Amino acid sequence: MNEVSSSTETTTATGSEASGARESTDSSWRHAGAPDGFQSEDDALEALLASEDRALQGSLDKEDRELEALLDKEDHDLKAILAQEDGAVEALLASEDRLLESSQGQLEPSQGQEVPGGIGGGDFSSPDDPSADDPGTTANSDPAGSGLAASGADGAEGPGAEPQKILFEGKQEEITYEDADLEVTHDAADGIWIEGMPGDPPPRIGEVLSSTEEGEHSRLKGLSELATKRAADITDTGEKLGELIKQQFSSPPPTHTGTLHQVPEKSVGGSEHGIDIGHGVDAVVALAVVGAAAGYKLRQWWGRER
Amino acid sequence: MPVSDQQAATLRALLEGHIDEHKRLLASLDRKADALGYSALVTAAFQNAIDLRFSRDSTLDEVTEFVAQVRSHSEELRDEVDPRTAERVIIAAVGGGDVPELSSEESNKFALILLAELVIDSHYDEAGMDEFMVKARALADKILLA
Repeated sequence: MNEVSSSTETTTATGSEASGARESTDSSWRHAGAPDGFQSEDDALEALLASEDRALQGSLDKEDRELEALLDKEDHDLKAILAQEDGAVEALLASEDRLLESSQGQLEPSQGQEVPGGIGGGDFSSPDDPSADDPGTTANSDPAGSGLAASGADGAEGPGAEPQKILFEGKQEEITYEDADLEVTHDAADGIWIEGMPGDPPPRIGEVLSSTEEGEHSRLKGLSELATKRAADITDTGEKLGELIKQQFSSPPPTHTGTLHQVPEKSVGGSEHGIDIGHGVDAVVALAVVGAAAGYKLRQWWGRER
Repeated sequence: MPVSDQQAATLRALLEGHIDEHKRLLASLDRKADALGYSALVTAAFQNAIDLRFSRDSTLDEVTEFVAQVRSHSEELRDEVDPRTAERVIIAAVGGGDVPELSSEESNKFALILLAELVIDSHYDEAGMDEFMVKARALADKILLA
């Protein structure tokens, strides 16, 4: 008996990491019962092992709980980051949409709707013109002003369609778009426009001027009225503007406005079809972020499963 | 009364970027007697320059690009030149008209700044500038007689 007891206590004394739990267990079985003690050394060892198991199990449970709490926290953080990024991407897209709408609004007043202050929406009166308030009609424009214009696309598709292939063959002035041959005018004034594609030919000044061309006499009369109006302040304004006009002369713009006349065997950007390169980059970045987050989540899930 | 040599020299000095000379000549003009003649000359020069650069077939993009070019010179010009108003002044001028709600001061400001830019952009040599001024004076004389 005493031998068994002392043996157990020796084990306890030299014991393992779970010694605290074991000691309490030892004392419990020693005090709480077994007046006759254990029947054998095996029984004692079995009890010891059981107590160690319980202690280990408790420790493992605790670690599991901590790990789970940590994973939950990471999940939460990741969701917050994703939500933040989603919000940022959405805000970016929304602001670009607004910008696009506002620029279209300036250039495309709908029929009968006046856009105050903008091109096509103002009051471009001319002398002897009673209908000066008519805003006129405009259509889509080519902001790039590349001078590449074409017509006659039978196979052209809807918005977002990109030209597959554009060829310039000397003076032949043809491009291939969606297997359709198109005529290229190389006139900057034509802008980029393909029949059958969204939009119309670029709007011209004559379209937003409500007045028709007038005779020499009425033109001179109008200019005379204008000169009389300007005469009141012409010298004062001239004095004030000296410095501004000096700046125009001292920092001339690089060259003439950038008009693209010929781009051999190069595809044009997609902005005229409603796709901007900037949007593409945004989309790729957003996809990369979402993909990285999904990969991270997948690895986490896989580690947890294992 | 036709446009005087002094009025023509004043505008030419401005359009050639000789600002100090322009200021000196402008100060020597009689503010009352020369105002209409000089105003007619500025109006005629602006009208001719617009007609040389734009037409009814010009696209609105060309107008926008031109105004952007004017504003690209300096921060001060960007502040001073409202793009929409400048575009409207150009478009109205193509039709031989004006933007009625502009004050005379504003109308002068846009006419002079846009005129200077049109001349800069034309890269006139001496002979080209001579021809431009002769035509402007001729139109101004007609305006004064109208």
